[in-house]
Amino acid sequence: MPRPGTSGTLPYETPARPPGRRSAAPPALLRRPRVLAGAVLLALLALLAWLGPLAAPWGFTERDHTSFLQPPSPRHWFGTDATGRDLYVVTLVGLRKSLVIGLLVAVLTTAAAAVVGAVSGYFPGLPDRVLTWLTDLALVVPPLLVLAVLFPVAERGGWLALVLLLAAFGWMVTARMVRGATRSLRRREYVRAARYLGASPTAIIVRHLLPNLSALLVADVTVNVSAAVIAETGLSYVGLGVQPPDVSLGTLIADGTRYATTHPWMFGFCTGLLVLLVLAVNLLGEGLHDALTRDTPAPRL
Amino acid sequence: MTGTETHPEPASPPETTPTRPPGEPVLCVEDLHVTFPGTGPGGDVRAVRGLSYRLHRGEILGVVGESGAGKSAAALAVPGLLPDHARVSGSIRLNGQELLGLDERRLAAVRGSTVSMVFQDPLAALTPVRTVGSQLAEAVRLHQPRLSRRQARDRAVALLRRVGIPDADRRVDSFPHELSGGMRQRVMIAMALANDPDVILCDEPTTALDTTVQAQILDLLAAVRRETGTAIVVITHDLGVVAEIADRVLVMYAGRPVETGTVAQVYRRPRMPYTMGLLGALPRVDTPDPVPPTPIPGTPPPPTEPHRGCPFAPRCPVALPRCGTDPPALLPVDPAPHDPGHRAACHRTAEITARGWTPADLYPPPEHPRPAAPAPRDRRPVVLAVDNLVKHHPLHGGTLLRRRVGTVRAVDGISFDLREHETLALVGESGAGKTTVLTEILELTRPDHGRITVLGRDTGTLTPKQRFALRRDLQVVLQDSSEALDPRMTVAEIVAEPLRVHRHPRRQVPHRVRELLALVGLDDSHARRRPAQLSGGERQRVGIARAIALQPRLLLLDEPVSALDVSVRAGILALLAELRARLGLSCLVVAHDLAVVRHIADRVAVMHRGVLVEIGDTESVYTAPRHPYTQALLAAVPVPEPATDRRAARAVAAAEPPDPAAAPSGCRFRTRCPRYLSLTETDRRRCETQPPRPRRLGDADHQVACHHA
Repeated sequence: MPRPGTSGTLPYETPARPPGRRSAAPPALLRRPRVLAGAVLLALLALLAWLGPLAAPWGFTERDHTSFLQPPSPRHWFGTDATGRDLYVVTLVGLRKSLVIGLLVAVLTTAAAAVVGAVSGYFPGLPDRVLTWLTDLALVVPPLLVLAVLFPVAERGGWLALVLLLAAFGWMVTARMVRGATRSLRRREYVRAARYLGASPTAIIVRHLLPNLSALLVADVTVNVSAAVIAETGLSYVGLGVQPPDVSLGTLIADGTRYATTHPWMFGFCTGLLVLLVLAVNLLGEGLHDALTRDTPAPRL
Repeated sequence: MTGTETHPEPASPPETTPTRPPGEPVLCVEDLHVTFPGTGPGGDVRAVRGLSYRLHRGEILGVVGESGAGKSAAALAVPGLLPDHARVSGSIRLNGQELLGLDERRLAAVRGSTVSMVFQDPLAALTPVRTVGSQLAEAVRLHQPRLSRRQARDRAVALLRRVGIPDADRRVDSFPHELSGGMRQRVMIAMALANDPDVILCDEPTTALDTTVQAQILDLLAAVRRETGTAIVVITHDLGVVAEIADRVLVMYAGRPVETGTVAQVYRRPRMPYTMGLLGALPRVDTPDPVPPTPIPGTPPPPTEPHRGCPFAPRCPVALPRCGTDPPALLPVDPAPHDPGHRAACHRTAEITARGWTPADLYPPPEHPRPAAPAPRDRRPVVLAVDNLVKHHPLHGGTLLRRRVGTVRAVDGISFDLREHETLALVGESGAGKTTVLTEILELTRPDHGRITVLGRDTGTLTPKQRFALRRDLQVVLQDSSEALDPRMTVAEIVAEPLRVHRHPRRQVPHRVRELLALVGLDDSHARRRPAQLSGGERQRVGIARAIALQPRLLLLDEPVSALDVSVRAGILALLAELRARLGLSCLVVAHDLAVVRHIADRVAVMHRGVLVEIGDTESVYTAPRHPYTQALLAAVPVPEPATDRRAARAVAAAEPPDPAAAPSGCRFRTRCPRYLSLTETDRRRCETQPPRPRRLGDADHQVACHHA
């Protein structure tokens, strides 16, 4: 989880200086098997999504009019669909979209939740009341209904509008958690110490509160990646998500379900990739969560 | 205590007492080892490594040692309360019955009936949702199932009465949170007494309590022993507590017993360098010309490390080469068998005896530099002035709707000033309002009532910009260093934070951080670590480095050493003294430990329930306290000196601090005041109607708020 508002190195870090927290963190984190496995898997999937299509002789819009609904073969690695598209290329392009949507939605959701939660937790009184009221309001609005109403707008905005809409419906529960955690953190002595140093509220939130919530936030990002991919899949399935000619894993799965028993390659490859994606993100998230939790002082015997 | 009686004893048993009552020991621990299988890098944690002791009926044994010495693990092993994964070996015999290896059912029968425990935090040890009476009755009925509910309740009331809880019939239906800390600890002791146990193990029974309350609890334990003949083990880090209450003492270091004997033997003639260091590190309230407490250099070895020689050798000022390779046995100090009770584990015991070394010989006291010839107090400028400060907290109640049911008068009209190069200590029991005063100053905002002037600026008129600028000159060291440092930051980042916040030129920051760390006795290897990887003393040093980073003129310290071990505490006190002299700091210290205050403060202000009762220069307040509350506080401080006749003075502090929401009229101390009781009717009326104002006594810098001082 990149820390908001800070670059990779500390302002006072010089080469002679022992490495600080952020520069020292990645290798230590990567040494954890789950983090490593998740990161490698995720990197492989991204590599596949962006470079994979280049390896195939077929283009995304190209159709093979000689083969329809053919099983995997040396000519079409994942087989073809009813219109003669090469499923290998189509699936990987769909994976690309799902990856982008999933990651973007998750980061946006968590960032919004962190800001809203931390601000309302740190400033009791009016800001807290207004933000809590907003959060509660957003919680009670049924998302599917709003999506259906806003669908015409979203359609014009393309997949980016979809990302914003998905993020708009995912931040509330996390924001409440962050608010609760912030309220207990702000009473901690080190936060008081920073306040008495003269640190501004923004500096305290950015430097003290959010880093100490990082375990929670990282866990939340990963849950949200999976949730966003699945939500997008669900929306695409009912026709509200990614619109043709764009494809995502969701639209592909939606198309493929009809053929699942008769032409399993239409369904199997995209579903398998979705499972792998969710697995990779969860492995990474769980591992990071463990690592960050263990980083904080352990109870002593 | 008699230390001269002799009992010839065969050499084989590990230990005997000179004051040994007839008969077999109640509790006999032999060669106890407790190991927690390790999951961390170091491997197994060896908490206890070969502990033996015997406890006779009616005897109080004090087990002292610093944190990590294995005291608690050794105590928990007796009733079998260690976690399941702990490996325990050796022998624990209670009334001749071997407890190690007993199954859970049989142990449960022993627990509470023949051996019971009193823990440090009575709030955590009592169930919050049930009344103390029902919890006591449960303890009674567990071991006497034939008692009816009615009988069990009567027994609970009787127990509460026995531990000195006033109004026991009513208190029996209170919930734990409705009782004060001292009352709760009394309830815990009542619960421990419920089934007339033979042995009571008390793990830091008074550490969480105020000294005045601590004195009462210690008296209660002594009374329990006197009346019931129960043997008591008191585990504590406080040598003063042991001296007050125990007959014999056992000093532990790194899981081993290093010295044992009667309190008089160990305190008057310590023969093991660690014990000597502990005694030298203790700030004393009773000595007229205080010798500064002396730190023991170094830190205890990690509990995961196997011992090759004496575990104390790396820190020992008189270690020999063989100390590093050959672990010393716990042998009688006096080779002649006339007094085998005093034993020490040191190769040089005989030499220490022969040369008559004292703690001061082994650990030369540090030079506390004083600021060179300070100007007289009234010619130095005032850096902090607090004038009639008031802070009231609303008290809310009601089950359905929140409504204001009262007011906690945390601070109720306090005035004092602090001059340049001066250290003023604010002392008092918890709830006296000391920390509230500190917080009000640190907020740098207009207080509810009154006025605070920091470095000539009235906090009520500051603009945000001025307030920010003023923070540079006003810094704070908070109490609990593990809480006060952000766990996710490295030491370098923590120390750099004030520099960063106040826009110190970036390129100079690393240099300045290194300089600051050096100033507080840390080095570059600490810079990249995080707070969790430091010891308590090192963490407090980081906290101090952060506070002095901006070269403040005024430093506020909130209980700077109360969370630290004795040997470390002395080091921090020495550091503070040095920094004060070198940087010309003016300090306001909040502390409850009067012994510590005596060593750091130039002036003392005693607070009781939100008002100042006495203020003056340290010397006159300590040697001639005029307010009865100050006298009570000073009398309650345990002194590491056996068999003093201070118990008589104890009665002074008998009453508990009253409910903070219901202040008595007139003088707030009168409900606890011994002087009040001896007054005539007319004099009493004055205490009841007029709140006393501080008034000057003679020419000295000494003011007292008492009508009859």
